[in-house]
Amino acid sequence: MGLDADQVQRLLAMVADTRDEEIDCGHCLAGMAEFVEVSLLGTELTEALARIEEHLTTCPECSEEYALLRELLREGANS
Amino acid sequence: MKRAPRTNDEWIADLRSRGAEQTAALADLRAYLLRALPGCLDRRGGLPLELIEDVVQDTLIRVLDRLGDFEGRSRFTTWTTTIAARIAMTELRRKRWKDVSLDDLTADGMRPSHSTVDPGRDPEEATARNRIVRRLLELVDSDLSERQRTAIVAELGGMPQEEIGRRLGISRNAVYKLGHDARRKLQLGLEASGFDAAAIRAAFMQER
Repeated sequence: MGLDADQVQRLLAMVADTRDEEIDCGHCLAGMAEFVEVSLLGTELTEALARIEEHLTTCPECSEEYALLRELLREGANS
Repeated sequence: MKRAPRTNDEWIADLRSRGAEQTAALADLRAYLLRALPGCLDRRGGLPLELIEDVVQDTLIRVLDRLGDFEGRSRFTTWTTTIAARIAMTELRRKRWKDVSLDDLTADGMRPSHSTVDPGRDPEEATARNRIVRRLLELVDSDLSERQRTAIVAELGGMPQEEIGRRLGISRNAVYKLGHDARRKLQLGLEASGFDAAAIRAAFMQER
């Protein structure tokens, strides 16, 4: 298979959003517990947590894991 | 009588003990994880019960291995749940992608399967888009390594980084770095050709 118009556009979006310094998935996991609790409280993000938020917007896998985490916490707490 | 929920320090102390406290803490953690995992995973395609049990068991092993990494910046159960979420998604991805090879996704590399540029509303816009895409594909050929091209094409084909890494024999973090280095090279190459992030967004993402 080759690339279709949507894939080329997604690649360009990924390239445009690329930062010189980005955290990887390991760092994201390390800070995710704190991030989810701060996010649920709606309090201001520290710089370190803001980088986790950035990573979540660009990494589909971490974003999927974060969505599952929020559901697990919600349902675990309510059951 | 039901005991009060453990504090973070109590979780750590109980899990570090070698006796009945550790056994009880592991049983409580296991029960906590099993409360929500089956339902949440069902909504994502589901895993057989024995695999969910494996996810929980792997989580408990990893938690015990990494107790020293817990810095107390969240509740202990939240930290444990992040580990379970990652292990569970890894299993789901393995199940979803088990029959797909990298070759299936990357056989044609970056070669466009058909026109990669939707004509814009006016010819000028279409020309601008075409110039950016042409330069992007040139840079992919000239500036990226074979591995970088493979990782990028597989990712665009929807394959998770973890699965790309499994097939390349590298970690998920290494795949992320491979992709980041590739994106950065393409970004610098496009900038050198006069197409910075603002120009790309103006040409392609204004309707988002």
